[in-house]
Amino acid sequence: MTDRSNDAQAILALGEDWDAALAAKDLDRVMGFFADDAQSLADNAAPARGREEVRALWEALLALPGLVFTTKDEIVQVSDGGDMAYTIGAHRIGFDTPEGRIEDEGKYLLVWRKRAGVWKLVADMSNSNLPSPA
Amino acid sequence: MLTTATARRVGVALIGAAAVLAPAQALQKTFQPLPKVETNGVRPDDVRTILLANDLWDRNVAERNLDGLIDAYADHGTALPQHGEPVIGKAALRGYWGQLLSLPDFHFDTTDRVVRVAEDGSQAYVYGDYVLSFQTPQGKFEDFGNYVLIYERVDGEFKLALDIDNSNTPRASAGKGAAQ
Repeated sequence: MTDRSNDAQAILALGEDWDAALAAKDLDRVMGFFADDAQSLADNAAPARGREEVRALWEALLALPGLVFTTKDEIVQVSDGGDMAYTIGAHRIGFDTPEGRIEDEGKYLLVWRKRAGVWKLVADMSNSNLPSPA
Repeated sequence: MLTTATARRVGVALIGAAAVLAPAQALQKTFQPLPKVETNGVRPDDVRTILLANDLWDRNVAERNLDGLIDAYADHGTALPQHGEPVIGKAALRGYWGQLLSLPDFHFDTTDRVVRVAEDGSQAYVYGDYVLSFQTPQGKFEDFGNYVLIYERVDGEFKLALDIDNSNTPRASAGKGAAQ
């Protein structure tokens, strides 16, 4: 078995950076994680494919009034070859709407590819743990 | 075998019904399928294997073949359903999928759009879209959305290690009623 613990540690560190970028609502920093051909698949939204659409999606997300968005990685799996990996984690999100504040919690998947020695996000998807709205 | 670094296991598996419901008109506005399967140009035989597994998956759903669905998963396979806690392991997955397959007139059609395989073939991920419908006392519910699958090679075979999906339907529309 190939020891990919260094890659796993690197990805966990990226996860902490990702969480910090979300907390800072720093769009450029968030976009720095994504590969050019990434897909960002937010819950209850049309899929964003490619850098331009991903940026538009995250710009809208980060601009949500009163946004508090936290993530915590829980599992990292790295392929033996060290060019692909994925992260599973738990998130919490809250934001204000005209109808009141929305608070949600759920889980996410991040898919990483190593490109030129750097891990980049090629896909992210999340969904809610909470019951469907009545 | 895959190298694993586990920080902390996701919480206890619970079964959660996975359906966000929306009017058909809203769905038509948000559903924009990709024209073809994209790959990263490596291991075409593995890509073909995964696409065939997708065909088999849809057939198993259509035929209510629960054993076939569960066989697609690795022993540690995990589903991350919408509006439910993670479902971990084959016993929990059997309960989860058994519940879904028993929904009246349950249809769940999937189409893989992107298949990318790790260079050593030990791992792959798939991005695709689904069409879901079933009957309720209030009428027919339908939903369009996307999924991501993680395959891992176990004893030479690709097995589902993870699946997650979510709806394309805007939150404001979700769950408000039947599509008639």
